[in-house]
Amino acid sequence: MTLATAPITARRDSPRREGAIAMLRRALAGVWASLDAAPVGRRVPGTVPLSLLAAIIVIGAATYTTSTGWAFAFADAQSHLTIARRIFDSLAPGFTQLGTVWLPLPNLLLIPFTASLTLWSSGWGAALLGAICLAGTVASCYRIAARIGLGRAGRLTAALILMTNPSLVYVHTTGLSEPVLVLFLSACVAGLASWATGPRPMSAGEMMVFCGLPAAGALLSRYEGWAMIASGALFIAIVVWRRRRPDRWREMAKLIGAFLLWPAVGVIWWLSYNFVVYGDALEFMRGPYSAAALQAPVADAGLLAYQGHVGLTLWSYHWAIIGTAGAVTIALAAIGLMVITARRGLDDRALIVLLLATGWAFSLLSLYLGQTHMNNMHTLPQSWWNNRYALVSLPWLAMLAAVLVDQLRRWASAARQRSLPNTIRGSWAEPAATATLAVVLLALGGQGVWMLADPPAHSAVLAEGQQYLETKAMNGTDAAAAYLGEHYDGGLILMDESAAGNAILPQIGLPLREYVNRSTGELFDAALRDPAGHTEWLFYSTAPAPQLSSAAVADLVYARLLEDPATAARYETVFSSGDFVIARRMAS
Amino acid sequence: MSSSRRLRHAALAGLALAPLVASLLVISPAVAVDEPSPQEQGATTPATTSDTVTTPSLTESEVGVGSDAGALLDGTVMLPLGSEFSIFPGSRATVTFAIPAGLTAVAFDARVLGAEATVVDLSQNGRLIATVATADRVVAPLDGAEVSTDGTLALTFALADTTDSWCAVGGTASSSEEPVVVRDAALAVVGSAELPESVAGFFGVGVNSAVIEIPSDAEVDLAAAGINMVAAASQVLGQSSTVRLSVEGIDSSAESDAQTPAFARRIVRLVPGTGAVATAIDRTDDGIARLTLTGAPADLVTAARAFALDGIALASAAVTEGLGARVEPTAARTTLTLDELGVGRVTLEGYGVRDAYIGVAQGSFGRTLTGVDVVLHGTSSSTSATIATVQLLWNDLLVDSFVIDPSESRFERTVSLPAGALRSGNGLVVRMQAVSANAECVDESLLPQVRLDIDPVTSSVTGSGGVPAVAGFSDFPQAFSGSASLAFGTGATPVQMVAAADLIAALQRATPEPIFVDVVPADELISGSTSGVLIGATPEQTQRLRTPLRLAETRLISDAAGELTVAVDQPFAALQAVREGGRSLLVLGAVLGDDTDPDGVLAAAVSGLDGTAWWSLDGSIRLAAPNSAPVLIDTNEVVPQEAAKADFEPIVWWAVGGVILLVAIGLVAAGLRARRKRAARERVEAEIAVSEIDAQLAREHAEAALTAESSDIAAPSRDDQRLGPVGEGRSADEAGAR
Repeated sequence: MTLATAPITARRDSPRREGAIAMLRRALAGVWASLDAAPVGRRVPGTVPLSLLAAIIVIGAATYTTSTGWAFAFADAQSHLTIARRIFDSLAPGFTQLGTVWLPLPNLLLIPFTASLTLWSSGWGAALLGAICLAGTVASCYRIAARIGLGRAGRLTAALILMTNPSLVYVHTTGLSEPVLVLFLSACVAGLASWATGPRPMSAGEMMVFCGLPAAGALLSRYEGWAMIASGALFIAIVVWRRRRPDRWREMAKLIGAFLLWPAVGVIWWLSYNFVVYGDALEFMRGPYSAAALQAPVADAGLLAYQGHVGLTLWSYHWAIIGTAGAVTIALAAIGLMVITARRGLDDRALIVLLLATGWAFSLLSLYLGQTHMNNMHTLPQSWWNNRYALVSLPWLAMLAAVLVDQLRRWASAARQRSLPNTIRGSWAEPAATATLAVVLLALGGQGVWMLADPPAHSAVLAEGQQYLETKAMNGTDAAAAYLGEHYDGGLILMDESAAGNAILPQIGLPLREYVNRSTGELFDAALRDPAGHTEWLFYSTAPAPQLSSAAVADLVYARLLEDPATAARYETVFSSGDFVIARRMAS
Repeated sequence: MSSSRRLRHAALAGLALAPLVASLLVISPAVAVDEPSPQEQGATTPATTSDTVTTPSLTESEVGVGSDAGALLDGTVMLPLGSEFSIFPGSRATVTFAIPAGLTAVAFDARVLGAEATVVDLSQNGRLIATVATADRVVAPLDGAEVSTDGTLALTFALADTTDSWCAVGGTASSSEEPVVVRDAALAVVGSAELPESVAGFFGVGVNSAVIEIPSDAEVDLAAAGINMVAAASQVLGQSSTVRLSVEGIDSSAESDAQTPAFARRIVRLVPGTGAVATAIDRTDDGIARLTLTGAPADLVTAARAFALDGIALASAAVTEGLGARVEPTAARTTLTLDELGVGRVTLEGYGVRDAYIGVAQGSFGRTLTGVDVVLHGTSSSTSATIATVQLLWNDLLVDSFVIDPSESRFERTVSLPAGALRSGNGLVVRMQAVSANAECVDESLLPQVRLDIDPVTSSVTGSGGVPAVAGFSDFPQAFSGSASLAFGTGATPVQMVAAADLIAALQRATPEPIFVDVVPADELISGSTSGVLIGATPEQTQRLRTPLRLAETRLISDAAGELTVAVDQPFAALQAVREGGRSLLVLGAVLGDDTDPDGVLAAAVSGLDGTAWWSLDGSIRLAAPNSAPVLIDTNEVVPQEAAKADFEPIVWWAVGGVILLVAIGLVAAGLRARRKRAARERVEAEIAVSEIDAQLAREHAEAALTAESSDIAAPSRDDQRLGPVGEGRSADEAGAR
């Protein structure tokens, strides 16, 4: 009986299962076909599935980084999260909390994702924004690839290089500013690509929305964005000029004006903010917390070896690229650059790809001028520092590699067509082109597998992150954060969160309104003068301020205790490990 | 009374007058303490391992002796202990003396400090020899003390636990009593050291110092033999030995050697000659045993290497001929059992804190490692009345811990250690801490015994081969894989030979595996791919090797001190660890001033690397200036030098070349595109022209047809009859041609 019924059941389930499989197969086939479809107006088929895949990858990676401490490895990641939250959760809330150390947009975008204490303290808030950013970046690069005429192989290559890069995916799970910057840089180029290659002329309004807004986003994210404004405007001028229309000057002025409008608003807002809050419109450039000021000790010590040295600049930055993008990617990109140069010279489509190099060029210039501090194991001196700056070059390299792959696919396809009559020429060209394409794809895949096999060992960004994790474990940071998070039971905490190593507020996980720190201004000064009169807890680091670090800031709380031991006598040390001490006010 | 008894009595009488004895001989015996003091518990400096912990700097072959041995050979010789040690109540400490053949131990002499009237039992092989009370001076006769077959004499000190109780204080078990500290311990010996009877036994028991002599006009070949001999002697004599190369006329070690008694010293003289190597042993006027090797310099190299191999046992006579060894490269090993690492037995028992030390030198693996997995198999015994925890400390860092499960007698622990946790020489401490379960002071005798054994045969250390990310002194000596190429920058001066020998000796002391040295030309080493040592490097050579510190003016950064820069505009020498092309090099060179003694400053950079000092070298640069002690700095403490930046100038030309290539590709492609366009245009124009001809012909044909039709009405002419077909034929031909 059982034997008789089993096939019946199987027959009943089979059509349903086969139907589902067939549907899935059809859906996948549809997606597969869309990846090779030509753009139609603003629509580029295949964008959505790849964006979703990118977001899923970030979410998947974030489940690991948020549960292992990796999301908080970089102090800057925690600082961005802190700035975003203290705008509304602080003893002195408000937009003045944005500060001037960093451009404001990444922190502003984090605000909705840090509204929940859980999302903020777990790092998931940053990861959710990162998922959106990588989805947008992948979508932008995919659309650029489609706009410049690349087929499925090329488009997928560009997208996969981005989505499988451990360094890029990792920073998207953190609160670092790279995700926002790369998103807006890519989106700006995608908008300009749509305008330059589209059959329909773009109105000024469309230019403002699809190109100007992303440009403004990049501009308010990091200084690479400012370079994008210049290169984007130049690109518009060249393309309009080439169209040789009778009213091209007017067209040029209209489009460039539309492109620059939002960035101009952004610049004016930023300068106004600096002026209103700090009394100096250029506070972000020359204030005590400006990048230049923080970097001055390093520059003065002569440690910016690449400053004014072209060779060392190229060497240092490209080793950072190799460490983040991978040697295979950079090699394929170099060949891709030759291919696109040979194939297109400097036509509009080649210029679109070149636009993506803006971040690369700006980074090189910045290093050469000594405005950026970056080190890796091939620089002088050797250390891991800021290699994530190389990530802005990744979309360009991915696009160049995509150009190469697309060209190989074309050659293989053309050779296949020629080989149909089985001519002598066609007989070797087709397998040769196909084999070359296979080798390239295998090399890219192999690099991806190699990188993912041991990310900290094969990625400069993750190596730097691991170094920070080890330092935090060794110097008591993790233990101190865990202690305060677990034992806090009320009362204000006096903490100099700007001191080196103290940017751990999300890791502690307490609401920011419980802290009296530098961001609370006069309240902090008053608490420093009389800690016991204001705060229940003291959290401080006894580590000496690193003389040559960009975060060359001594812990003011500790300095106060050294200055006035009587203050310390009113507190009982409840935790001490490594460099960190937590003290609690004794009952009077 | 026999002569030996008379001698002993005389010796004891002499001991009473010991403070009056002007000069004492010095011996540094090994000490094994089965209950380390709290101060020592954190220390994990490499040393030998047994069921007890051995104090770091002392081993069974570590011997140091005082000056006028000859004068005392007929009387007593004091063999003081090099360091003090502590004995906790309820614990024991074992001191091992190496007694050279011909000498007899007659008494133990020490200061035993502690609580008044505390009694320490002194025993040998379980036999109580004496019971001594704490005092500023204790002399205990050693009647009947036996020297073991390996020439050592072990004395055990035991301090009874008067309270027999252990308390849990602040989470750490400790005795309720203070320890006894033994200082200035010494052994009195009498007799006359025998002359070694064979080449194999030349570096015998009690020897801790050797001088390898080569003539002042020694060529590089002979220097190679001398340096190989230094390496071999260092390997045989162990970590605390002193082995030096002495070039005739330059004997910087003479003064320090004078502090060592003759029986603990050896001299090996290398005499260039021809033919196979011949050996002879005699005694110098100072009473020091001397081995003379005579032969062709190349053969002397192989003869010297033979001393590091087990096969030297075949040289069982003092006079031999044809001594030599064929050296095979050291095979890299992945897994070594504790037994293979030289660990005899690891047993921890009793209450309180018990430690066992396991030394893991990367050199034992014959290669550099980027990670190790430690697997410990063992057996434990405990009950619920006891809380016993085991901690594993790797280089003083806690890497694993577990509580001994009373219900499970066997355990297995695996610990993975990353590259960052590895040093050249590593120490694994197995620490057992046992207290009574109720954490009160309890009479130990009322508690069940707790014990932990680790099986050295099945427990192992597995290393992952690879090159560490950051170059440093910790890459050595394992980077040599048993064979080091040695080169001299601009020809070998005697001082450079001595410096090279000092360096090799220091490296050899840091690994149990022998290091064989090949002397090669500097260019061969620099342009080659093998790891090695470059002595007396020139500024140009450091430039070629891209050393972290170029031999040029530089500035240093001392971040830790909070100071920024220190300009080095004075002469200095630097020993540097260099990673170049996947291999590791040690480079020694100097920047000299006008009136600088080049040899002096160079020697300073490799000075003071005695004993296990190599393991303490951090960073990658050892910098020495005249009249100052060497300092260790890291590559990142050097402000990038202009000379170093110059390495990167060619990159500009690569970049320019890349741009030119791109422009060329663009221009060629543009030219080809223009040509294709031109060809296409011409083709189109041709097609247009052909189309026009066709149209013209068609018109003509039509006209002709019309004419023909007219002719049909009227009579056709002859010409019309000819033109018709011909016209059609031309048109067809043209079409075909087209």
